[in-house]
Amino acid sequence: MFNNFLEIQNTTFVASKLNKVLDFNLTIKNEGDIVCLLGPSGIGKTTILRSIAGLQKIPKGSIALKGKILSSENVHIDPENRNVALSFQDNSLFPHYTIIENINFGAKRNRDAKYDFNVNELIKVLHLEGLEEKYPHQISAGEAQRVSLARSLISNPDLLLLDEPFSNIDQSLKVELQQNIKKILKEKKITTIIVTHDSYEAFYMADFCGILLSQTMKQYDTPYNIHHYPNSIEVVNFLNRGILVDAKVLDETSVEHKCLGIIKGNFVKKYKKGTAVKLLVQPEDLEHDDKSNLKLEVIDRKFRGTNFIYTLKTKNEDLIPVFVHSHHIHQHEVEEKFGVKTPIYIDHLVCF
Amino acid sequence: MMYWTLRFPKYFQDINLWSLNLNTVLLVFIASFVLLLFSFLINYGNRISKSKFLNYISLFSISGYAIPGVILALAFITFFSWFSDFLTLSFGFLSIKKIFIGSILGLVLAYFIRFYSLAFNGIKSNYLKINQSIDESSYLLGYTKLRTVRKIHLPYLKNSILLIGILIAIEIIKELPITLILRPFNFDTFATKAYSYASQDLLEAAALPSLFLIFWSSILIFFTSKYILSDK
Repeated sequence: MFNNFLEIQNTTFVASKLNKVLDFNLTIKNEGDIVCLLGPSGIGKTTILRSIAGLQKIPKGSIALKGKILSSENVHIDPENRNVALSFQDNSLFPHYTIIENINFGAKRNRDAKYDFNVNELIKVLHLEGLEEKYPHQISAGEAQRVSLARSLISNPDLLLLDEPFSNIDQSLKVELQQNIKKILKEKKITTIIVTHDSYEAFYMADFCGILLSQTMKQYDTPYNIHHYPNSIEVVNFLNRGILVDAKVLDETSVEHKCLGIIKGNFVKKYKKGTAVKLLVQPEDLEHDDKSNLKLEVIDRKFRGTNFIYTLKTKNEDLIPVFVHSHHIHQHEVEEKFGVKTPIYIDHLVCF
Repeated sequence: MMYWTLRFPKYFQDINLWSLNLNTVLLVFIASFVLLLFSFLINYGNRISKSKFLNYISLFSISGYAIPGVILALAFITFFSWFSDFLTLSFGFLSIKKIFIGSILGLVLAYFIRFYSLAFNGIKSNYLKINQSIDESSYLLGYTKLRTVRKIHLPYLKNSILLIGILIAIEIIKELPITLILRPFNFDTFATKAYSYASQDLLEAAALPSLFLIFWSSILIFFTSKYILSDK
């Protein structure tokens, strides 16, 4: 009946009376896949994890792991019998045990498990050296998060659930930890669901991403497809990809915008000639060229380290963002004119 | 009091020190144990079930601390006399008065009503300090509810339970009215003994049980400060 590793079917998750996730479907085919759930705060992502872990019951639907039903309307297996680990977002370490004791709490679970973690190895990978004998109240939030992660990993779960695992960890360490953890998860083939609101984290870690918006899963696909082929306006807005401008389809490879002119590229979906569409324009789509005849007014300029984002206003009042490399010698001030290279070419023409 | 004790050594023979010590320690031990056990169980029940019934019970039972000992003891006697008579008259039961009035069981029950709020709230305030997510992570690591209590809750609450136990013990050692009214015949604690001598104006005789009362309380307080409060 259930051939997939994890199968969640038509499930309703109840976070509170007003906040629910309806008709949620999620399938993880292979053991060892990493899935990220992305969504704004308060959408019920944590509730989904808690329900999969068995801390909350589900009123409708079913959750099956390795062919065995864990939760449904009438079945509810207790969390201690599921072999699902959940690493909480907030600190949930046992306050009266030292860090090493906390980690070892997980180790006692599955002695005959398929893989074996060495405590010291984990401590090294997660940069927890020197904290072993300290108590949870003596370490920082970021460190506590890593300890909690280590404790979950060492319990050898069939399914690992991580709730915002890197939210309290500083930027430089985050990148390294993401690499290390991805490597561990892939090496040991640990199936993982990560909940996050950081899309870059999701794209890096995940084999598949799910976008949760307004009570339902809007899109579930590979990170590449989510980025390049967003399937709805809501997803575009959530990922903060760019802006949507009115345009008209000219033929099979081009659209026309009132001010930007003809834009060439490959359509993601087929449209009839002459259809009025909303075209997604992303900051990286336009190129700066002082010699160009197409000049637009600069409304705003944001410095972002490696690049500037200029906001340009077209004649028909669209505000278009453009990336310019920050080594660019000359800069344009607000209200100056800014040249855009024509003709404009966009790889994937995403229209709605 | 020491002077009086040394000045009138003949009261050493008058007072059966062994039985007094034994009585007091026994009472304190049983009553504290029962109190702590029930407080813990009700607290734990509240924690995992959120049932309104348990909540109601715990709220209601806290009121015992507000009632003065004498009134509580009299109410206790009145209630059980009535209850026993009621059972005898309506169902032909044997009188159960003896089981509750003038017995150790009755005493422990009365102490329970009196000091329940002390034990309950003491444990509750410490229990609230450990987050619900701590329990949940324990379950997720494969620990059953029982093992969570044993491995996580009890080690965490150990010190505060001991501390509350000692507080209750001190309260019970010096508790007079309830003991005086509800005790079994010829059953004396230091407090009742001291009271009975003092009421006969035999102040020099009251000195010895009073000293013992202070001695036991001091030992408990010493133990508290040395082993429980010092390591925090």
